[in-house]
Amino acid sequence: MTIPGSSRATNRRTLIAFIAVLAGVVSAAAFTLLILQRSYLHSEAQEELQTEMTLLGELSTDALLRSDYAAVEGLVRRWVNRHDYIMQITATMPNGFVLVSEKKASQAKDPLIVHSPVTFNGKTLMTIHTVGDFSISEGGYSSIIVHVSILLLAAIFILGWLLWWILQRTAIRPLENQIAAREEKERELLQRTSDLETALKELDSFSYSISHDLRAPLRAIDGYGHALTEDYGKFLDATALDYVARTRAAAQRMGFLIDDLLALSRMTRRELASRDVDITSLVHDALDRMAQAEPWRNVETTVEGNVHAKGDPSLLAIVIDNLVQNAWKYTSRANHPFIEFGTRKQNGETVYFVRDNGVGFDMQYADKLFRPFHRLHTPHEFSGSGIGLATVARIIQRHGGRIWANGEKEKGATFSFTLASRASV
Amino acid sequence: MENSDKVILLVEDNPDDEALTLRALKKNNIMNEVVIARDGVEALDYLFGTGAHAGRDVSFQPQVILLDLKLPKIDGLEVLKRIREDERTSMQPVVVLTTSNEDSDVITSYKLGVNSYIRKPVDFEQFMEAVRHLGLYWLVLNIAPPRQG
Ligand SMILES: Nc1ncnc2c1ncn2[C@@H]1O[C@H](COP(=O)(O)OP(=O)(O)OP(=O)(O)O)[C@@H](O)[C@H]1O
Ligand SMILES: [Mg+2]
Repeated sequence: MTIPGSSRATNRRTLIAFIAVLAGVVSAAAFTLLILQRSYLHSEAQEELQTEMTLLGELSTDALLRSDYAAVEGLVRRWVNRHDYIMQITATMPNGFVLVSEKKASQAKDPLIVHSPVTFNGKTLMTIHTVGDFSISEGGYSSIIVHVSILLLAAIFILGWLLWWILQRTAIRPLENQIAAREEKERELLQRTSDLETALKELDSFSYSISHDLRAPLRAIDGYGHALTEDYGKFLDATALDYVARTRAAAQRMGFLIDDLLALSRMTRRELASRDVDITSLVHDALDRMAQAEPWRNVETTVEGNVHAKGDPSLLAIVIDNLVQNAWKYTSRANHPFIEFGTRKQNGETVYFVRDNGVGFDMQYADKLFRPFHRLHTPHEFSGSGIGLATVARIIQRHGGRIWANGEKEKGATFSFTLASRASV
Repeated sequence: MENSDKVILLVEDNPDDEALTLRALKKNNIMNEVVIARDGVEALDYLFGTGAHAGRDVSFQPQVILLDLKLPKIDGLEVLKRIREDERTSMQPVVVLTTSNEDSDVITSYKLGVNSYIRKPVDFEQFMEAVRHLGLYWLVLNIAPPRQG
């Protein structure tokens, strides 16, 4: 889990890294451009200086021919003064006499060197040696590029922050809020899970004490009832003995109810397996068991072949057992008892069903069937404790499915259920 | 039966259960002397000759211990553990006789080395049947560990 504060810091770091890389790329591009530009400008400046020198030479030719050296010197000096980027200039006569020697700086950072002889009719009148500094010249380091680069960098940073700010407002904030909300929900869920676990533990100890504390008195009732009948039976008349027998039967029945209840609660807590289960053979097994227990009954059955499902094998066996058992039990008074198992597709879901033509029930009570100890028939009509369908419903529910019942009085009943398509059990 | 010299230790806190267990034993003609401990401490005192049973000759140990699990002071599983840990009683046949059929209790009992686990049914006739098997096995057929001295 990420804490919103730290995720924001990570976002900011990423953005800074992005801007830095962008700035780096732009600087590198500008630098390369500068270098390329510079070598071009350098040769351009060199050429220009050459031209100027030639011009200067032409200007001074006249004076040189007149041997007016002062004029030549003046001309050269004026020219030098007008051009800042000239560092050194030496005008030398062919005989080695140095006419002018100006030196503004001894070293040029980025020198442009020009030797320009002044000729007349093929005769060299004077040689001008010039050292200029390209970095000071107008075409020198392209300050435009430098400025543009700086501006660009500034723009990148400003745009970067702007981008960050806009993202913050439009995307990151809401996203962070969403994340925070989800984390809150997760925390709540965790809390609820642990609450649930506590509740389950309490249920555990509750069923533990039920199994101990409730059954012990029942054993005493039954045991003393037994002792009474055995030791004092001869003093009791038939009615009294019947009362004792009923007392014992009731105690034993309550013992079964408690056991059923405990089994149901254990079922709810059990870990679910998720495997392929052969439902068809579960139905056959259940029907065989019923037929074995009551061989005198003649029940017609139809079982769809090759029905498989994904789920917990032993729990699904309990489901099928109970549904088949009920169908068997509640068709016991039918003239031609009939039990069918099958499946059908409904809205893309597989619906499994067990149908019978037994006593059926009033649809008005259809949902009550699945509650523990709820029965629609009296023990006189049909025996049972009313826990079967409650267990079935819990198991189906835990498999992520649904169960429902359809019935009509004296016509029969159909119990249908689904299981989670993707066994999310 | 001929085994009346062999003592049965019944560890049971519920007086009704005690009376009914004694009745079931009697009805099955198990005439052994039954020593009753009403909580875990009493049971251990008897077995190790401490407390109320200080000075008891502990080389005489019961033929079988019938142990309830839910007991005051020290519960049955703890008693069972101590019995198995002490070499004087580690070989002692112990039958858990309880109301609980919680999986965890059954598993823990077997892990601790119980010899049998019987869940007391509500139906007294069934209970008598269980006691009959139990008496047959632990008092007649079973050969007790040799006496230690
Ligand atoms: N196939 C059926 N036809 C008609 N009624 C049914 C059918 N199956 C269940 N019922 C009704 O639903 C009630 C609840 O069924 P459930 O299986 O939970 O309990 P039970 O069969 O009475 O007892 P047991 O706990 O032994 O199964 C039954 O008492 C009965 O009235
Ligand atoms: Mg049923």
